[in-house]
Amino acid sequence: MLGRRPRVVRTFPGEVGVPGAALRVGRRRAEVVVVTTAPTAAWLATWCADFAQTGRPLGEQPADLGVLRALREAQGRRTALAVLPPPPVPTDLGIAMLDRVAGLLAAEPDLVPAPERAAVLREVVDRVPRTTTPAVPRVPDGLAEEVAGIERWITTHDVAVHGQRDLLDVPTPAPAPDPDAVVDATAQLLTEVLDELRRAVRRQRRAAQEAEADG
Amino acid sequence: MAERVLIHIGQPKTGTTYLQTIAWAHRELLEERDRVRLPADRADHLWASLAVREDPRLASRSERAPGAYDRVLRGIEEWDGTAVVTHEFFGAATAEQAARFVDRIAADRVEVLVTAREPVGLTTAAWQESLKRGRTTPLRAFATEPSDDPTDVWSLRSIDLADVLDRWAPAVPEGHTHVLVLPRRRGAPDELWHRFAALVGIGADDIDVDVARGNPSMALADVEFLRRFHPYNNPRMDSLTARNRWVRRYLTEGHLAGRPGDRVGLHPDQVAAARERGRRALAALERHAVRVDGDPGDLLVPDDLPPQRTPDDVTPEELVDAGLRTVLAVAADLAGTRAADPGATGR
Repeated sequence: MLGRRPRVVRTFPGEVGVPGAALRVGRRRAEVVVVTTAPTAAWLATWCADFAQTGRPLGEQPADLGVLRALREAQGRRTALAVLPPPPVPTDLGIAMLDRVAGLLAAEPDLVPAPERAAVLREVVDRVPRTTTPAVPRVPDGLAEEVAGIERWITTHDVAVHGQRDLLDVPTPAPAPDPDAVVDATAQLLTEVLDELRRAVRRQRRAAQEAEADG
Repeated sequence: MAERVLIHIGQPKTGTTYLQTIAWAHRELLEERDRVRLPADRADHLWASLAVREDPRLASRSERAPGAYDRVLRGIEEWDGTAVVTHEFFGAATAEQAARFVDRIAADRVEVLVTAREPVGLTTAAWQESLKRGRTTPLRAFATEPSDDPTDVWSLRSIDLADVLDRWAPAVPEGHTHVLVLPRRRGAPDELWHRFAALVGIGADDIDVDVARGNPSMALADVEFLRRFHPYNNPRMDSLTARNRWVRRYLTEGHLAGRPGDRVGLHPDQVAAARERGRRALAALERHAVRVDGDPGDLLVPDDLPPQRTPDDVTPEELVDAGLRTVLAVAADLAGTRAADPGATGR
């Protein structure tokens, strides 16, 4: 029934299966469903979603996942926490490339003119290699603190947890990728972007020919 | 039948494209005013070089390619002034192929012209050019061994001046071979054209040298990144035309060339080999009684060669930066193309 539909709080971009999860949880009479995923994936997904606008390195991405805040805001209402499988986020190679793009832009702001920057970065972000088992060389302290806070809140406020609770663990830092592998990944990224440009130019040419043929 | 034919056979990376571009742009003026003809079409000279060198890939170049050799020869036969045949790939021909070509030319006098330069710069430039065409040979392995294959233009066959002269000079009478030496220190921007024009017999007036674009070199990290890029990109290039357009012209000349940074240097053993090639070139000039335009000393590697930085000295971080700068440049063009074509669904 409409009146019993829970309020869904999404805490990371690129959610996978949120409507289904919310529905399943909602049947168990939660008033608020806070949706999250593996902390590192949530952090990376947020970074990626913002990257085209901010162009900031991963180290400057706030570690606040928004989960604890959402749980606090729902205090006093029946709350469920749905932990969903992570969306595809950049691999360690993808992170290294985007991080370096951020470094280049910080050092040379004119490398990509400001009016075009968001569109250009979107083309890049969309093509970095992705994974659902992310690894980062440095896990920010804030991320671990938030996870610990979530765990405490769940226990003390009787929050029902649905889905893959074990995903809430903060992973141990992974070693930085082999620099040579980053070179190869960059070469592959350039191949992808160039391929897409060729397709776009072909489409444009075909459209122009069709327009000309139509008179 | 032509009175005089000059076959300009290279070397690659000695301003050949620059000279050809100016000459072809003024083709009618050259014929009418100077009685200098460029027979057939520009592409015919490339294809004729493939025919002369019996390259089995000739027919796959274009349906017009197999007829190019005859068109060039006919253009010479039907002309009574000076004719110039020019392509830098002729230089890789065998002595027999060179002699056969000269024999087929209907002219009172056939001369061979080689534009040449100092061997370290020539070698690094030739390596870069080979990469622009999709090759992946590391610098360390480039032009280290003699090649017997006349289709192997990006090799010592083209860049070893003594070897080129030993194969081509005997095809024409003594004194009919010219070497135009590029100065180590560049002079006026159009100096090369004027020297070439004087040698051919082209007047100085009314020639717009600005029709030829510069062909700046690439920075070391950009070159090495390009080499690392090819194994991923080459399978996507479905034709020679696609590679020429998208890798050579668009990516390399459009985005990579001219960026700041260290230039390519040779490994110590390659520098030593280049020094030896320079000395052998001077001996070959004498041996073949070559008419030299310029300072033959400029064919020697200078004693005070600056420190050489090779691709082995480039860090992965430099390569990633070079690659990502290129990614951003191409992504900017992609975003611009999409913006200009809002109807396209894009991704």
